[in-house]
Parts: sequence; structure tokens; C-alpha cells
Amino acid sequence: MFHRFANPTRFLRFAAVIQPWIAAITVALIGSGLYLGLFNSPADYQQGETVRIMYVHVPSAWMALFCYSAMAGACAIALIWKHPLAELSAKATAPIGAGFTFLALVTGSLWGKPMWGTWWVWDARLTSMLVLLFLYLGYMALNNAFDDPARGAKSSSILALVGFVNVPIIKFSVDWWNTLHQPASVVKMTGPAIHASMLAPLLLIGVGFTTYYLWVMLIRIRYEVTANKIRTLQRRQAATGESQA
Amino acid sequence: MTGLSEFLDMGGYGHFIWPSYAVVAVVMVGLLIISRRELGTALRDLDALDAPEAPEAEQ
Amino acid sequence: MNGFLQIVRRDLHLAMRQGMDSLMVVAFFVIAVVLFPFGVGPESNILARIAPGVIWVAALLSSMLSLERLFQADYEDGSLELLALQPVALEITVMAKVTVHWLTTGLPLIVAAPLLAVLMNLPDDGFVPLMIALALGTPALSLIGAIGAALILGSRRGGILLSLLVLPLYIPVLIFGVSAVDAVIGGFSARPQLLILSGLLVAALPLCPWAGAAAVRQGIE
Repeated sequence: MFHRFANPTRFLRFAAVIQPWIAAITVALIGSGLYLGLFNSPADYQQGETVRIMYVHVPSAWMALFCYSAMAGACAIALIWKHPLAELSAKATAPIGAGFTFLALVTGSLWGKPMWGTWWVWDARLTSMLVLLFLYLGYMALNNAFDDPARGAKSSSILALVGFVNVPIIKFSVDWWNTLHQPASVVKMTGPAIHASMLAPLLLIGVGFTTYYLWVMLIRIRYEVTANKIRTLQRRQAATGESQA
Repeated sequence: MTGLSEFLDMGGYGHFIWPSYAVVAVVMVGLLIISRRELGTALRDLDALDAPEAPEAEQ
Repeated sequence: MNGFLQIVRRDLHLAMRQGMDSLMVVAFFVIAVVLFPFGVGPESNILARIAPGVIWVAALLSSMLSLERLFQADYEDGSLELLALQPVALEITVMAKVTVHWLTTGLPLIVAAPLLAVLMNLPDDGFVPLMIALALGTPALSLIGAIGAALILGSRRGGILLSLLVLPLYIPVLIFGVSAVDAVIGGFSARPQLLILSGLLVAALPLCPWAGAAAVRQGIE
């Protein structure tokens, strides 16, 4: 499975074939999840209708963590086995993960306003998400900071792994810090056990977000492969141009 | 009609719920469109580079 | 061990000759802290409340300030490549550079901290835990920062990029460093916080030079 698609050209052909399927599955999953979530699920007895924000907030938070793990995994493969596609998929994952992290923060804030009475509290999970967003931004900034893209890919791979080791430490310290400074009147976001009619839309949208991630990642990898080809061609043409002159 | 406005109101929380769905839609669709456009531009640039280098041959 | 000491001696010598760098870091540390009374007002109980946090954040920023130079000079004049070619493992070289960075920034910060604690009206109980926490925390900051300094070698916009990479990773040290001082002022023992800080340092000691050396290696390739 792994080595069959190691060759970028073969991968491109494969990607072009499955992309429409992934797109269709994504639309179907998110569409049905939204239908169930908005029309066909009860309001929570404690949080009322605001619980519907959960259907986009929680999957975004899942994806924020999932994308970072996927990115770190791809970076490890890139550093250990020098797999060319691994570097590209890590680079393609970062903006998607950063997007989901941003969405988790914004929807969490929109959920927090009616629940907590303010747009932002330094809740342990929101704070960890904020730090995660900085880790994503650092990765993307470092990846783009070099004139030689290969250098940027390698440097940022190391950074992603260092960040990955740090994520549990940061989570632990933020939890500790938060319990020390817990304001008394905070309503916990974790409600009672989730009812099945709420779980179904949550899972559908969660899986839909995952296939959305695969969909956009395929597009972005195809873009990265094409951009690499363009760079090689340009370099070659510049070289022949010089030798003719 | 009242059914629709009641649905949009979401028990008074509509102005928190709909913006969160809207921002999710904007970011996800936006990222998709940007990625597709980048790919399209790159593919066109590649075609232009790959094309037989007629102008250079003339020089 | 010999190679390690050699590099430490060489870099300390270079730092002494330039001399000003350490002083600048301490000056920045002092000025950054002194800005806060102007920002929040001179009420001594407010200053006492925020003193540990302010001193720690300022220490974090000043320690980061001099990180960019950690490998940059050696990278630019090519001596980093020579160091990598030597029989000494690159990890040891990185460790030596971190040691010098701590001796020239972390240590002066610890020395300057009590003075700032007086200016910030820190309660008397807080002095000892502040010093211990800084003594455990600043080496960890130098170690973590070394990875960032190695990653940005040869990049555009090095300095500002470095802060984006390194500051999120500093957060755990900041949390436990401040919390140790707050605990003692609040009448509790700082033992758990100091133990966790030591744990962070012990974990960073082998991991950071290793990751830093990997980053240097691909930087000079």
C-alpha cells in the first residue's frame, strides 16, 4: 500500500481517480449530519438549543488534534525514510489543521458566550487549542521561511515532532494552571452523557470532516507536486538558457 | 412562515448558532476553493512550461 | 568531555570579548519589568500580586532575545561546519553552546531577579522559590531555545520567526515557574512545582541537544 504510491506520478493518477468519490462521500456525510443535527435532534435540557453548536465545535476540535498527529506522523516518516510524499502531505495538512483549530476556537467562543456569559474564558481546553494554533502557525511560517523549499520541509518536520512531544506536556501544564485559577462560576462544557440522537449527527459530521480533510489534502498534495515540477523545469530552462548564452 | 422564523431563532440562541455554522462553512469552503484555484494555476503554468519552446527556438 | 570544555571555553572567550551581550540582556530584563508599574499603576499590592508572573515573562523574553545569535555567527563564518566535522559528537557541541548561552544569559538573569523582586514588592517568602525556580527553569529555556535557534539557520526573518517557534514551547516552564512562587506566597509548599520543573529540565537535557543537533545537521548540509 505504502510503496505502491511512493511514486508521485502514480500517486497523482490515483488521486485524480478517487478525488470525486471522496468529494461525494464528504458532501453526503456532512449533509446528513447537518440534517440530523439541525432538524432531527432534541435540544439539551441544560444548555437548550446552543448544544447544536457542539455538532461543529467538537468535530473541529477532533480534527485539530487529528491533523496535528497526522502531520507529525508524516514528518517522522519524512525524516526517517526520506519519503517524498510524506513531506508534501505534512505540508498539505498544516493549513487544514490550522483551519480546524481556528474553527474550534471561534465556535467554542460562540458557544461560551451564552453558557459562560463572556466570549472567552481561559478554560483549559480552549487555552490548549490556542497554543495548538500557535504550533500550526509556527510550522507553516518555518516551512515558508527558506529560499530552498527542501530546507523548509526538513526544518519544519523537526519542529512538528518537537511540537508533538510537547503537546501532552502543554496540555498537562495548562490543566494544572487552570485548576489553580478556576473561576467559581464557570459552567462546565461537558454536559450529561450524550443521547444517541445527538451522537449520530456528531459522528456523521466528524467522519465527514475527516473525509473533507482527505479531499483537500489530495488537492494540496497535487498542487505541491505540480509546484515542484514547475521549479525543476524552470531551473533546467534557466540552466540551458545560460549555457546557450 | 412562523415555523421558519422559529427555526431560525433557535430558542433565542440563533445569533450564536448560525454564526458558528456560517464561520465553519466559510472557512471550509474557502480553504477548498483556494486549494483548487492554486492547483489550477499551477497546472496551467506547468502546461505553459511544458509546451514546445517555440519562442525560444526563434531567437 | 574534553571537546565539550574546549567549545565552552572558546565560546565563553568570544562572549567575553564582545562583552556587551550579557549586559544588554540584563538591561532588557530590567527595563521590561520596570515598564509594568507604569502600565498597571504603582499600588504595591497589585504589583506584589503580579510580580512572579511579570518577572518570569520578562525572563522568558530576555532569554529568547539572545537565542538568535546562538548558532548564527558560527553558521555565517562557516565554523559551524568545521565543528560538525570534528570527532566530537554534534550533540555535545550543541550542549556546549547551550551551556554558554545559559552562563551568559540565564545566570545574569537569576542574579538580577532579586533586585527586580524588590522593585515589584514581591513578598519576602517569594524570594527563595523564585531563585530556585529560575535556577531550574532558565537552563530548560536555553535547551528548548537551542532547537529553535538551530531550525532557523539560513532562513529569512530569523529573529521574529524564532519567537513564534519557541514561545509556545516555553509555556510549561512559565506555568510551573510562576506557580512555585505563588504557592509559597499563598502558604503552600512549592515542592510539586519544583519537582515538575526539575522533571522538565531532566527530560530536556538529553532530548533538546539531540533534536538541536539534528536541526543543525540539516542546516549545514
